[in-house]
Amino acid sequence: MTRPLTLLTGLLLLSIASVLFAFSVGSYPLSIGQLWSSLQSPGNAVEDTIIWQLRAPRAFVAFVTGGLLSLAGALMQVLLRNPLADPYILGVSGGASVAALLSMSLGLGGAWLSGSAFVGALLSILLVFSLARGSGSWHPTRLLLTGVVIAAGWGAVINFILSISPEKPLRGMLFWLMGDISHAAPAITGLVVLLLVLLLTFLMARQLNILAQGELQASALGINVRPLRISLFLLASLLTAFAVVQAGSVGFIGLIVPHMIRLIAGSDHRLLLPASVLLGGSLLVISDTLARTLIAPQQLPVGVITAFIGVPFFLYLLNRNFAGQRMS
Amino acid sequence: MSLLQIENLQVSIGGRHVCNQLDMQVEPGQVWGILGRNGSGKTTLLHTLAGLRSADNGKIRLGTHDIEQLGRKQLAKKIGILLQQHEDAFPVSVMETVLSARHPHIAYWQWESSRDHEIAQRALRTVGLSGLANRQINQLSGGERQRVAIAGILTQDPELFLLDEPNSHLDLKHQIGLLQYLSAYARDNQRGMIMSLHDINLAARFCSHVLFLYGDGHTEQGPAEQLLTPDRLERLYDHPIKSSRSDNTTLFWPG
Repeated sequence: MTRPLTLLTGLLLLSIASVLFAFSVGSYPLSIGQLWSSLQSPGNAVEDTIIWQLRAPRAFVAFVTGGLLSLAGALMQVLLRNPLADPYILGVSGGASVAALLSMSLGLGGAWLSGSAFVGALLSILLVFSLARGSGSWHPTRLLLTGVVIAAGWGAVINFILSISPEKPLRGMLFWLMGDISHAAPAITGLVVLLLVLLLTFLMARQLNILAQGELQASALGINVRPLRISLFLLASLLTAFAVVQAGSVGFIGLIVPHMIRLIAGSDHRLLLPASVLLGGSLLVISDTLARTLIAPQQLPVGVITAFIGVPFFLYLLNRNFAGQRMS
Repeated sequence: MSLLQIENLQVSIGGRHVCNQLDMQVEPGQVWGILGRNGSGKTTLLHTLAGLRSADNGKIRLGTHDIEQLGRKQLAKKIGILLQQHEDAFPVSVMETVLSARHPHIAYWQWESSRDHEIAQRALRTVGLSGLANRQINQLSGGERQRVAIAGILTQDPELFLLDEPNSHLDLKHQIGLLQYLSAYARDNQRGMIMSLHDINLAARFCSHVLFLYGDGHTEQGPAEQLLTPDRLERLYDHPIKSSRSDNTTLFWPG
């Protein structure tokens, strides 16, 4: 088991490295030396513009989105006590996508697009919340089934919109659905939400460790399970809503990053939550940088790259862990 | 003053009566055994006493407090329950699991102190698992997992121990060793203990008092040596039971 401080320091260094990577790679490559002098003494107009107008905002959005999704994924997994849970499992992104696609088909963009996506996400959260609440009991299985069915419903509506929409907005719609950071405006609110929720959930982290041991055990150890579950649901959904509004439905990050941390460092949420944010942020910055450079000038949807990097990395960790178990 | 006072308690589950108008007192240092057939409501009664479900009627008082008036965390300092099923969703270590039982004693912004670690380590030594402290919980055998749970309730260190079949999955050595330790712990430290058991001989050996649940709301209670007689047990279990005395102890076996 890695020591917590070592892991967090390592992840912090990875985050910085990923951002430097994003700053230097592109159609106008910058060496580390150029990067350093531009950061030290701004003056060269071209390089400053490339770094601060183009690459920095995009890296910022990617990092925040990756952090939002990873934290949301970790929270959903403990809320539903299900390792397969991801930020989208309860239909938040479906609601956002339907609203976003509708506004795209009306030719709206920019603030209208993100605004309607956010409203769509909130509507979906409220819908799942009120349906799963029913009379009294708030059981994870019921919440999971309600969310999955609502998500499937949104999926059908998405397919319906795609099939009747004309050719022109279709490509934009598909990119948005696969997750795309190229058009995202840097939203400081996303960062604020991420930090606030991270702080709040960090304070609940010991309760989350116990909630993972089951509802009865959690109650027996002095936890008010119902309010804890409701706040987890609302916080995770809110994180997802902000991520989807910024970058569409970037897949894979929210599912896999928390598991990577669990494999490396165990399941203590006091370490898992901040570590997931750092790893998720770095991974999405690296993925997005590759997405815009691999077949430049063409851009790939970042969700494709996250899976390309994430799948082998995750399988490696999984294998290493199980090999270690056999030997011990 | 009694540690636990149960007044006029009525508990039912799914239309079946567990107890009607149960009055019972548990004094510090007493070890109670709950005996009854499958489905007679032993677990349900323990969950009710732990405040995990509510009674139909009646009062459960802990010292001077009604348990319904205590907050969850306050309650967890005073009452601990060893559950029959352990659900582990994610891989965590044995030590982390045991240490998490200190939760009710720690303010939510604080981390476990070195004293909490000591308490957890002592509990692990008691159940004979010091060597597995860093092992992942999902790699343990059923009996080892049960011993982790027992270490957990020792770490929680409540005033009232509720143990739902504490001997399940345990091998012979640990059944006797741990029940001996737990009952002596209750006597020496003035804690109350109520455990559900299926083994009459374990109840006779370790319990000072017993409570019979007949499964129809009817109950019987009293000192163990008075209630544990073949004819009463035959009625309780609906099965012939024989007994004999040797080495100053009475042994029971099904006929």
